[in-house]
Amino acid sequence: MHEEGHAETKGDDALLIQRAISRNADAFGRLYDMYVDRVYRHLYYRVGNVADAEDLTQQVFLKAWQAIDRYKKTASPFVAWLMTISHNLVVDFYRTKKDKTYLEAEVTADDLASSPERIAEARYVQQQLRRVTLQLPGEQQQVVLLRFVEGFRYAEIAAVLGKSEGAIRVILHRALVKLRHTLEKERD
Amino acid sequence: MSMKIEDILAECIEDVKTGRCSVEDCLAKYPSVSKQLEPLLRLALEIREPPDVKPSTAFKVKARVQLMEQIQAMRGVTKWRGFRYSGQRKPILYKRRFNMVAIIVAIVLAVSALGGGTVYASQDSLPGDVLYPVKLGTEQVRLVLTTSDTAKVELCLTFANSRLEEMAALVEKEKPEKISIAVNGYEEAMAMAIEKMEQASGKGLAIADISELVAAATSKHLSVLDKVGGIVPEEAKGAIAQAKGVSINGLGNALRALAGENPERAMEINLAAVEGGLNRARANAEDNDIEGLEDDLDDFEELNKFGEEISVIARGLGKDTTVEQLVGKATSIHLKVLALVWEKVPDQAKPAIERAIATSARGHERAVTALEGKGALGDIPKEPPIPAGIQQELADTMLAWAELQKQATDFNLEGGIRNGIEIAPALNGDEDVEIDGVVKTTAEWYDEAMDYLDEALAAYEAGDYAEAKEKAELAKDIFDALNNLTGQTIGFWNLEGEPEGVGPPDDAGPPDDEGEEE
Repeated sequence: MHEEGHAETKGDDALLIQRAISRNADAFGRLYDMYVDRVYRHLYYRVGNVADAEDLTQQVFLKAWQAIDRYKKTASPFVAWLMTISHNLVVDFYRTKKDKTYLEAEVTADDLASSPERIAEARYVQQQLRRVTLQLPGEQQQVVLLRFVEGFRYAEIAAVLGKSEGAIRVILHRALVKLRHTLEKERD
Repeated sequence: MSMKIEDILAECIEDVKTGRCSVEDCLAKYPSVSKQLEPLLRLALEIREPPDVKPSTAFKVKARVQLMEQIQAMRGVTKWRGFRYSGQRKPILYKRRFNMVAIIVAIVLAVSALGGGTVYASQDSLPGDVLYPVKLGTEQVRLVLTTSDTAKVELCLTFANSRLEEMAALVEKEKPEKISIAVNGYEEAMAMAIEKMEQASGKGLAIADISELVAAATSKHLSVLDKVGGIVPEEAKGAIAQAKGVSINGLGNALRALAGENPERAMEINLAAVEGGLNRARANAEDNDIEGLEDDLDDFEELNKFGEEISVIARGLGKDTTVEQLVGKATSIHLKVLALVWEKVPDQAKPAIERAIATSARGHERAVTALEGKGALGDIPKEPPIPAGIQQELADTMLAWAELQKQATDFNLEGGIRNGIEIAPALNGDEDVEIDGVVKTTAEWYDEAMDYLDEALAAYEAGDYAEAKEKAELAKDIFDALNNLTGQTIGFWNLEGEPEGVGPPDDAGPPDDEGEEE
């Protein structure tokens, strides 16, 4: 899995990003190569099926190219910015979709070192967590996903959402409280 | 001041996730909020990363191609409203690229079906191998996935280089019959590189970088091809010669394009290529490979013509001082090298070297004239450094050449009729002929050429071979221009070959290289 933090943004791809901001399609293509897996994985987690994840992945990169001028105004990692675009697209995607079956999709990772019983139990818990997380309000959901699912630091999430780190901690706290209540209700 | 629960929670999540402490340690550290903290902390730690699902390769490539298409289309719309594009161009481009998506996706799917290992393995394949089409297919994918003109040209040059390596490998594996496949691939790659360079130029973009890439690459290709040409069996020599022709054409195109922006650099590359050719000629002379030597000298002549073109472009840009200094210095060296080669080769090869010396000396004289006018001659020798023995040979060659041109001119002026077939119409002597921007009648030019020829002979008698050669060359150039007036004689020979019973004037007609030039 990926490491926490995204120092690579400050490394080699910083130049690519600069070139992409200058409307260099080739540089943008290279960024696509670097991040398409990550964006796809995130979207697959959100929508739970290949077809929609692929469709949305394409849309994310197209939107990113269209709006890349705006990226330079933020100090967040490029991939975190892509996640924000992904989030907005997913929100739009579900706004028009009444079907909630995506919440039940099985997209949890197995711990191969565990026994089959433990795997089944962990899978159930993850499934449940995914479902309730995806039902959180927009900003809370985004912070939880960026922090726990994508592994961004508070400072990075703050930069990408244009908020202070303190505000991100507050949102995260509220999100966890809400998650807990929802889970308790479900378990009762 | 006590910390807020949000900050404590955030800190504990960070500490536990990074292994700095356990959940219990955290709870012990903040006993006043431990009851609230514990369930939230445990919940936070339960939320895991998603499984490491990955999109399929086919999807990634297809999506990338479509993304680049959309970007290009968006750019196209912008430029469409500008002034650079013609009304028909964009739709044609779009259609072509759209079709390319389908082709590439098909290739990617095929490649995916074969597996990554197959693609990797194909990289070492050669023409005739089962995996060779896979290698070419992946190259096409790379090309389509590249958008900038410079990157495309770089890729095409990489492919051209691969084809050269394949030629060498095929020789090593004793499969000369497959070399023509690699040569055709080389031709395609170079044509694509030149096309992309011209497209960039057509868009009004600065193409110095691109043209320099092509020029430098083709200059190296010539060297490689010469080496390959030296070891291929007879049956493959034609294919290698074809590749050399492609390489020289590519070099010429690139040098012309580069000269428009940076004539000094264009001349540097050209002179490096000329020197490369000269070194190869010297090596072939030492190996007594007369055929190889003559080929090299043909390349030398061709490359010198590019030099002349660069000089003209530089003059137009007002940047000729540095360019002519480069030529003056380089030709001084070339002439010394050619003199050394001339001494080593058997008599049968000497005329070819003498022609090369004459070409180089002309370049030197031109550079000296230009630099003298600017007072920028510096340490460049005013006279071309040609040993006296060779000077005499050169004068002999040039006089004979001028005489041949005179005979051909006489033939034309009198009306070129042989065996009842009109080869060239008779000239009256009052037709206007322009030579180097000066217009005179045929008769006037003829008289002037005869004067030069007389002066050349007089100088030869006096032992001034340099002067004799120079005057003979002036005469030869005028006779040559008079011959071209009809343009029919040479055209006739080139198109039809020599008809039975109809030959050129006895011992007349230009030497072979001049004939080809026409």
